[in-house]
Amino acid sequence: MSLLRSFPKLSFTLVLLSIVGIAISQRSIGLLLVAGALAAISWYLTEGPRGRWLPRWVSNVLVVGVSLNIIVDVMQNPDDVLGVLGRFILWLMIIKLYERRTSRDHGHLLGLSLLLMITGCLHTVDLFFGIILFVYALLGLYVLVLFQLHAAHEKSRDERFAAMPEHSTAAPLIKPITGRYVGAQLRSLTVVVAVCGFALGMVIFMVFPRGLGEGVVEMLSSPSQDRRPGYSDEVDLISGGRITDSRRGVMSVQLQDQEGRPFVSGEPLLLRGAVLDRYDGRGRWRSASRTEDTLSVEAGRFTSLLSDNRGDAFEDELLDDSRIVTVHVEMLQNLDTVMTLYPPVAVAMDASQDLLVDQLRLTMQQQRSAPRLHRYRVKTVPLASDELLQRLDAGGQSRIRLSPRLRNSEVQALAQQLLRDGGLPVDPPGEHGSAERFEWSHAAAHQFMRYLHSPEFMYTLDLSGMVLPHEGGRQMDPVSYFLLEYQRGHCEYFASAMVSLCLHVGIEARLVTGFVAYEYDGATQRYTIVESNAHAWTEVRTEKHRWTVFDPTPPATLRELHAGGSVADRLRWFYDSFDGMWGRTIVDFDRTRQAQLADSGANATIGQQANEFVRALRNWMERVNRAFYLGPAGYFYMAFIGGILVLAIIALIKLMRRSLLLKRLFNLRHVRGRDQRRMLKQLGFYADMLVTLRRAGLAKPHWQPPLLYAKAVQLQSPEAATIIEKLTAAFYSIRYGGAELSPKELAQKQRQVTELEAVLRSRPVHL
Amino acid sequence: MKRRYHLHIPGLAYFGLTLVVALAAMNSQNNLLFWIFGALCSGIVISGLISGLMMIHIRLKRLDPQFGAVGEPMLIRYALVNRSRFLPAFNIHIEERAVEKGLGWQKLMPPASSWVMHIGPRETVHGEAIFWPMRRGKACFFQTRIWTTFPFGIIKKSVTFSQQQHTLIYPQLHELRPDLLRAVSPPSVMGMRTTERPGSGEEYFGLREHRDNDSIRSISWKRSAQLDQFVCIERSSPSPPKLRIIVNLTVPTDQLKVDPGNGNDELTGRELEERAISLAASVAHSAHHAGYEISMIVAGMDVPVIGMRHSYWHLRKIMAALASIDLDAARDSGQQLPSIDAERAGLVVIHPDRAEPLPETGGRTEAMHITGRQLDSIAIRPMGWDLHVAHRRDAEKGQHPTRQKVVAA
Repeated sequence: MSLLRSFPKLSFTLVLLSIVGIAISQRSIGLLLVAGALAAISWYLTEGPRGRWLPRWVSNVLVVGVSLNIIVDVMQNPDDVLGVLGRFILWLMIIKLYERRTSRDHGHLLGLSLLLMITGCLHTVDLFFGIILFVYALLGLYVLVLFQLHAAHEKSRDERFAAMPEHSTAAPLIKPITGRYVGAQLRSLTVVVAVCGFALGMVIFMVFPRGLGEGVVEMLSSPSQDRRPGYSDEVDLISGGRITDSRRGVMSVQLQDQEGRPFVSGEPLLLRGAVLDRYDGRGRWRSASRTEDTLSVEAGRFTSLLSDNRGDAFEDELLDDSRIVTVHVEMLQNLDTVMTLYPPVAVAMDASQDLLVDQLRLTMQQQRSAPRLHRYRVKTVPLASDELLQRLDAGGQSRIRLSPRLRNSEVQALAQQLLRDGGLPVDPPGEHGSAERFEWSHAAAHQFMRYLHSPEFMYTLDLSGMVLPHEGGRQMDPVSYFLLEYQRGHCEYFASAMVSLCLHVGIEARLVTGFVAYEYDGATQRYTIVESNAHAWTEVRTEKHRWTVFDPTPPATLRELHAGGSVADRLRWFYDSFDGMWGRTIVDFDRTRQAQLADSGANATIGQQANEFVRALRNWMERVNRAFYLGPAGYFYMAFIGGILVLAIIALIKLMRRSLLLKRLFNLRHVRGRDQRRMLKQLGFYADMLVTLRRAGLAKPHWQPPLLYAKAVQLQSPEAATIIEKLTAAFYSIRYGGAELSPKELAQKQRQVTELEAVLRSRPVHL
Repeated sequence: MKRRYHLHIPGLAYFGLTLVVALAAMNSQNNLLFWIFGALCSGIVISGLISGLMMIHIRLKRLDPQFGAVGEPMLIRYALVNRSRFLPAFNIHIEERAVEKGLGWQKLMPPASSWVMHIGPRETVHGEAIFWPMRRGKACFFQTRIWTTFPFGIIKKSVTFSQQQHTLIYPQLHELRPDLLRAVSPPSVMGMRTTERPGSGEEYFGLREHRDNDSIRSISWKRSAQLDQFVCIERSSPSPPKLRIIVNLTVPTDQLKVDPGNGNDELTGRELEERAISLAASVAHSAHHAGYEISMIVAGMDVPVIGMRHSYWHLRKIMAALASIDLDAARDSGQQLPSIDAERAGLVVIHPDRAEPLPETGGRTEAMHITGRQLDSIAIRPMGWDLHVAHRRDAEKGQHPTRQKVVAA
């Protein structure tokens, strides 16, 4: 029967889906093409009466070969055990696809595909993989249900043949014994099971305690947990795998003045995470020797970073400065670095914990075992005085110099040429640390930044065409290559180039990584920071304790990149919104969210929850409006579209109800396909007639055929009976005669029904 | 009705997988794995709930198969009713439970099961299990169990229904050599004969006056015209050939003359007795289909004498008597059997081991004595209960190779 025959196809689809899933999780197009092609070929080779299968010994040899290959793979990629495991399962599954497929083999294939998806989960938590996983779960549910029936059918048949004695005649072939509507009932039951299973699964997902047994087996820990959302405290220009254009939310930030009023900054916010001042000449930046102090921060209390009272409680009065800005950060993802504006003077966390403070660079980081950051506040003074910077002791003693090994004469010549072009002396004037030297440094940095902003340089994330040449047996420094030849790259290249130019003429400069915030949400009065806001820029020493920010990345390009002007970008906004929602609700669901959920469930009334829902809806509408630049008319459009959607849903429900009514009235359930559609379309007038007659007290008994009923009505209402007879004749021709009325004729029938209604209203029937 | 949940290997594997996913999720704190874990857990709960709800509404009734025959498929049908208003039932397996009693069916045949794929709400469907009886006797069915692993194969839920029934398994039938019956019946009594009684035959018996309800076709018009009253022709009663079968089971099994010295003869005493019974059944069956009236006496056992009749039900009566013979029961060598000395019927005496004259046969020297040991030489091949079906299958042989198996000659 068709239900059981559909099982192999659906099972194969599920297997293909798991291959797509593992390829997506490992981000390997090659794997997808090779494994997908092999799997697809297996279908044509093994299925059908002429199917050929691999002999068992061949598949055993292949399994041994794959196992040996996996051992080699593990030795070559000791850091990617999960990837190796995924590939191993994948090849086992491919081999299995070429074997003879009994119901037991089908079971093995389903099990392997599930393992493949689990391995994929350990690799990635991307929305696209999540969608594949969701589709896999739904299809898998149906396939599993079908598998039960398919396996039972095969087992029953095999048992029956095995039970036959040697010399006996054969038993009849087994056909499944079923009741009526087996397919429809199976599908309905599967839908019910899926809905219940999903609901129950979500409940278990939400209540299962988080944090238990975390990282016990470190080798098998999910790489996704170490994921840094576009940001890293190290930069590797060559690998560049961290650069992302994802719009998944990382955090939201609010700026408050000293009175606690939120405000918008006139310029993009640059939130510092890490300061990198050591370059290895091969495209890798990191921090030089760290001088980290542990700072104990009590929950809810500002702790000072000032050198004279570090670790003590901080009061605004300590600074005697009215330009103190408080940065409120709410994390949406797990990030162990405290993001601040420059320079931070005090920090407060939502839970007591120890922070590692790098006083030289004024950066802060959580200790490794600390609980996840959720909310924190940092007090900063963007326009800090020299005195304050001195109190912060921000790197006063250190000096950043270019290593002679990294000196490139061409870059140096370029830097000197730029200085000459800007009318600045090539050699640093004055003594080191003198005001004259710092003024020159500031002007030179400006000159370099202008050069990098020039049209000669182009911002791009696509560096696939960048092939580093070799010089004297060594690969060329990517920063020099970017500056001198390629001139295309992303923010890290621009920032690195600027630092390189500065260092080549003796200016102290360093690379900073963090986030740039552009998007301000007026409703929540917060900046929303997404993964693609990860950014790198430059800090140049312009005074003994002052580091001035220079962002060499072309600002227009950056704004364009973050604004997203094209239609595709706007449409992508939806995907990104889902991605963000996916990240917030599923991927980043943790202990704190569990507690919040429990609190909101326990404390909030229905009214409060409704208010919360309305507020969230309003915010969402505002975001959509902004994303599509719709203006005030946008709310009208959205209301219009919402109204149409509601009307469409109502219409759909009415249509479905009518369809069910017609099927029940005219016993159409056993009529299939085109005939059923024709009758559903054409027999509406007769159903309307029956409803009209029922309202008039002339309900048609179920046992009575339509023609008899028409004659019976004649006794009570001869005028109505004339119309009923006409309608009944049309009903018979459609229902049993295969006739199809034209739209005009159908409209005429509807008019007759209206006429009938009028007749019955004018001359009520007295029974 | 007894309801039970069972854990089975696929279920244990599923639990193992769930545990592994839980450990992996805890180790990695990966929320997708937590979600998969939630889905797997909900699978366990839903599997138990669905199968439990499904089975709670199902009622089963075993339909009496009447009889079975050794070597022939015995179809046992089950009526399954789903009393639920909304919930359909899927993947229902039906099996007879073996019991530790002497009369259990499991001594006579290997187990068989039935599978019903679907029962709609408020529907009744019929499942069927095909048993292949290996021995004759009385098969007693006590309990039937239905079980399902639907929807996910994790938890097995079973319901056991108690319904006591017994079915007789007839002995194995063999197609006998065609000359056997001719040899049994003396030449003088061969062919269709009439008796000196009026009956329903075709031969003329006499005339009598017309009575109400006489067929108009039986009126002798010529004689009626002569006598001026309606006169009917009476036909004589037919007298088919008769055959009496005596199964000699007077000698206890352990006293049977089994010849262990003969290397080719590895038959035990019990096997010889079974062969004798099978031979008796085959003779009765062949004789019945050849139009004989059959009578049967089982000497030495407490089996009532079966009189001379010819009908399908009479044959079934003989078969039932042969099927119910309990060879473990005490033998009665002094049993009084009716005298058949003057009977005008062929006589076959079937012995398990060796032909020894029975006192009841008196002077019937024409009696044919055959033994269970001779079965192989007398029988052509095993045969089904229903000759028509067997012949049709023979005719179809080769045309549907998947449905046919080569019959051992």
